[in-house]
Amino acid sequence: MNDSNNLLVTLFLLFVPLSLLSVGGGVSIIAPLHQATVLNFGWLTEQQFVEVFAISRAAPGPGSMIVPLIGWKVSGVGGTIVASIGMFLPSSVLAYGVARLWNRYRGTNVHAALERGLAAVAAGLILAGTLAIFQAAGTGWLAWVVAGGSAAILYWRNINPLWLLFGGGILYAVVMHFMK
Amino acid sequence: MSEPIRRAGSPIPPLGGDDPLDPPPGLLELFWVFSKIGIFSFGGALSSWIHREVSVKRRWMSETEVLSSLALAQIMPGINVVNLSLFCGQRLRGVTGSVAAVMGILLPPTILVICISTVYDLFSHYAWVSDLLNGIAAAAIGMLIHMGVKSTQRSARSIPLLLIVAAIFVGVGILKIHMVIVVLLLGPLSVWLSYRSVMAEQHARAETKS
Repeated sequence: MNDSNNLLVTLFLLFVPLSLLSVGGGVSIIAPLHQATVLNFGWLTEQQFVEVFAISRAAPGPGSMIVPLIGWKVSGVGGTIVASIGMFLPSSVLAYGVARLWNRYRGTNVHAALERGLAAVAAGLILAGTLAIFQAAGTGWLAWVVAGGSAAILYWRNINPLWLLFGGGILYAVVMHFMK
Repeated sequence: MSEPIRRAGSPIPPLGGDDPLDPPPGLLELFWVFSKIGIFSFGGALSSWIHREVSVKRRWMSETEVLSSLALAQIMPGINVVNLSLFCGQRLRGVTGSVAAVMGILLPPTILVICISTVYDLFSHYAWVSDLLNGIAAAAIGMLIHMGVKSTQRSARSIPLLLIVAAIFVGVGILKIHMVIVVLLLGPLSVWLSYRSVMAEQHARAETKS
């Protein structure tokens, strides 16, 4: 086995346990990823890791886009594919089993009760997650205005959220520009 | 679009699942819708995009179905959004559907993130770039607030369920207790309360029929 194959195997074996241990939106894997890629294997420098993190947060898509990006930085296309499969396949197989079981009992009273009960749980978790993101973002009054304004517009007008995202981004950049 | 304001003690509105649903989409359409969510979800808030595309803009699944899938997706190992896409795909088109939805939510953003990382060096020294991104992220948080309000209105069908929503928000959001612990403690209570109301509704329906 040559070196690049070795690298791909190592990359794969790094992500498989993270796939099954991570719970949440991808934030929980940041600390172990930093430890492995920067401290243990030295694939990335500290600065590179911070950049990879920032880019994966800014890019659209699931918060876990840091995974394929690390694969890309470490070993190009092969690394991207191997890291993604290692991260997303094991948890997906498990989730598929649960989804099948879940939908098999559709229509029963117990299923209806589970569905309603879990919907209330989800509502609480969405509110808690929103607060957590706001605290992590650590931004000032302007962010509150943009977030509150966007929420209010969506509540009363059924517009495409893309307009709000671009409007919010431009408003924020313009206000910050004049405040400096 | 707007729902009538419901006071405590007023009759329970119909289950989300009672609204007529659209027929399930083809695989290509499923892949396309999840790709669109993956590509346009700047700043995060993917679950609210999925909720919007799958049960508000289209009626593929009821809101209660999407929300309960979201709760399951969050307590399962793996990335929430990927799990939620898989649940939707499985519900709509079985195995191939779940593959189409997961590929849609992952593949285009992967290609995009690599492109963005490649051009990043060209623009990283402009302050307005990070300001723009902060503004986009703030608007995305607004989408989440909106979804939180909507899903509370939809799912807190009674005062006890509203208290469950509030307790989960306080436990996870403010007290920072681990989500799995809070869900394991309050989830069964929430399901039990819902079971009682499902049985009560069934009973009421049986009474009116007879």
